[in-house]
Amino acid sequence: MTYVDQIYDESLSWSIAKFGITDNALAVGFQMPGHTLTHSWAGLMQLMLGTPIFITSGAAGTLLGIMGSSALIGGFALKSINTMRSLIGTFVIWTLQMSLVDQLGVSANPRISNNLSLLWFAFTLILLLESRNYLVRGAFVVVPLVVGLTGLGKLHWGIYLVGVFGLISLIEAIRYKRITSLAILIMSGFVLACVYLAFLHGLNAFYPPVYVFSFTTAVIYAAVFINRSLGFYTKPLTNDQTTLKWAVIISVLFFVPLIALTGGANQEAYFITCSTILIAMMAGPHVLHLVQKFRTRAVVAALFFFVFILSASVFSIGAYWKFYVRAEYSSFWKLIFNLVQIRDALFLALIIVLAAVFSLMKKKADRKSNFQRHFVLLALIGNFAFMIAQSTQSIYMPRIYGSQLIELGLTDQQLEVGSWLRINSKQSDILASNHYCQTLVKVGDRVPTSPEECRHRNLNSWVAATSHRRMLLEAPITSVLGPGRTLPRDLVDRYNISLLFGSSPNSDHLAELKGYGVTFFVLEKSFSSVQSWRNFGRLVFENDKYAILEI
Amino acid sequence: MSLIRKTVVYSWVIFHLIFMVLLVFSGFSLKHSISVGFFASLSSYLGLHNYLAISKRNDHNILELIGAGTAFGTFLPAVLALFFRSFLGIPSYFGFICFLAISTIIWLKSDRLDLSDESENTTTLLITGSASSAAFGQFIPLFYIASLFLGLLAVLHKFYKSKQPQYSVRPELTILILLSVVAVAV
Repeated sequence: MTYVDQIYDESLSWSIAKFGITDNALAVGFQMPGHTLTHSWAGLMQLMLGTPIFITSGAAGTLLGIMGSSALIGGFALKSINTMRSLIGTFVIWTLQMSLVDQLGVSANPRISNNLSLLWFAFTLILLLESRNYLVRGAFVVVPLVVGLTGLGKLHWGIYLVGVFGLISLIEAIRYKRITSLAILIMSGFVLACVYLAFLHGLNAFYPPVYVFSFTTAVIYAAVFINRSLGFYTKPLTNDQTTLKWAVIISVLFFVPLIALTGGANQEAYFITCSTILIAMMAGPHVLHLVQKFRTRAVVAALFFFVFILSASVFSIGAYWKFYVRAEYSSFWKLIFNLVQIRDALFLALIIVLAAVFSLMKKKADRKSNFQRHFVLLALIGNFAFMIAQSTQSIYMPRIYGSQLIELGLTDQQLEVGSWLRINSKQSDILASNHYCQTLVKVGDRVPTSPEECRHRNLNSWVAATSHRRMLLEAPITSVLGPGRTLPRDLVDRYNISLLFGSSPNSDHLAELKGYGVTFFVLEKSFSSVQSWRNFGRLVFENDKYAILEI
Repeated sequence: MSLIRKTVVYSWVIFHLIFMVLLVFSGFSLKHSISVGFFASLSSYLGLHNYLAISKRNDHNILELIGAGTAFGTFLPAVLALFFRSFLGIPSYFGFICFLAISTIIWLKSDRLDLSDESENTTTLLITGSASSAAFGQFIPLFYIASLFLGLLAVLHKFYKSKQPQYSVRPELTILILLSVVAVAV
């Protein structure tokens, strides 16, 4: 599980545990920006237990987050309907939606910053529902603190809870003169604002927002939402489930247009991700009840549908990756890319048509309930096929296209470099590297993110993650949250000097690096034609791809 | 120890045993999986009592308690560690020590452990483990084996329970241990 995101999580976890927000392992001397509470837990565990790199940030935190969320969601399902069918139905929806395709960025990619914070989101959500029923002691203190600090796990979750449930509470306050819940949410908003100012101030858009409404994007994301809200029409709902239903509806009305307007530049798709928890809790207990009583003929038809969606999904994923790598700039690539993007909309249209056809075969009086049952069955089966196709691609993709398409996050040679540094350098040492995208930046520029390889290099923080040492600058896209804003002079200098020293070193570059306190330079050899480094330091470690220079 | 307290402890052990087995399935050594699993389970048990201290309800089910315990038990140490390190310059692990101290006091002072009917206790835990394993398995096909195993265990347990008195533990523990051996071998 070592992809760019997990590598970033590992470096952040170490940094947060070691320095809090007062320093930044990826940009020494800068404050650590962003929502870092999950990394605080992973770093804390690692610090106390002395576990190897990646165990807490890469696997344990993620798994614990998923298991805890599952337990909370399952517990809620049993509370509303205490049957095995209710529990299993909830988990079917939850598991399928957690594991759907991620081309649109709406699935919770398994990583600690998503899964552990989703657990806290689910917990806060339950606490919020309990406080609405006056079942929490000290609700005016506990709930605002937990809601506000959940935003430190993932800012979007905090905004979602305060915004969506604040609106529901406001409507209730006007209609029923009940202001307790609204007061709690106002205080939660205040705590969230304080958390933002203390920890997240200066957080910038991941990409520059577009601010041009895209109708196509709105349709695509609305389709995703409808696909995932399988049990919208289920009845009867408990009071809490009705609240959740309204929360999901408000999410659709607010967040889909927001994504269409901004192009998702601030990662607004996370608002859909967290909605999956609400959907599972609301619809899950009822979903198996809806699809029971099907006859053999319908089950056979559903199996055919499963095979069809599975094949189409495998084909589209295969095509996506094939053209992603080999023909990114051709017009053919654009066609494939768009087909993959609108897959959810096509899928939704298909199940609506099929459910309508099946229900038309019934008597007029039964058509509505039959449409609903077929819709739910087909959507569940389709989601299951997507999940299988997506999660097994590491098996079938190398067979179709060869192993060169499987991108490995960390190589053995990188691990060797990190391991050497961990053993042979001091914790106070500062490292620099030239493994970024090789495009120099000017003052006023943003961090280079194009083409894809460039973006990947500027997201990858493998030196800090594997060595647990502070870097002059690494993963500049996320470490200083740069692409949405122009880079300050200091960071531009750090970026350029690292590249220049690696490719064409001179004494000025060396002096500048030393001025920053750099003691080791990790050189990616392919970006350098220098034969001898004797004038610039001592070569202390070398393998086929990398060298470490003590300067 | 009351039957309810026994049930909670037993369920909590099963839940974290599944967690440790799945960690080994992820490719980590048994030693590290046990150490992480132990600390996670300790935090979750103390978190569970913190949750009970703020909840007015008295009809919790075991899944809810374990989930809330895991959430609180990870959330509170993370917050304390971050605040201590960032604003007071105190090493992060003091955050955990502080959490441990406060939660232990709450645990010792509290005599509450309210649980609703728990006849399906273990089956629900196994189903939860199976679902989590399938969700986690997005990139690790090996986890589908684990989820199938746990699902099978849940079915076996439900079948077995219909013929046995309540709170019997043998079949699922035996197969969980077997699963652990398979995981370690893998």
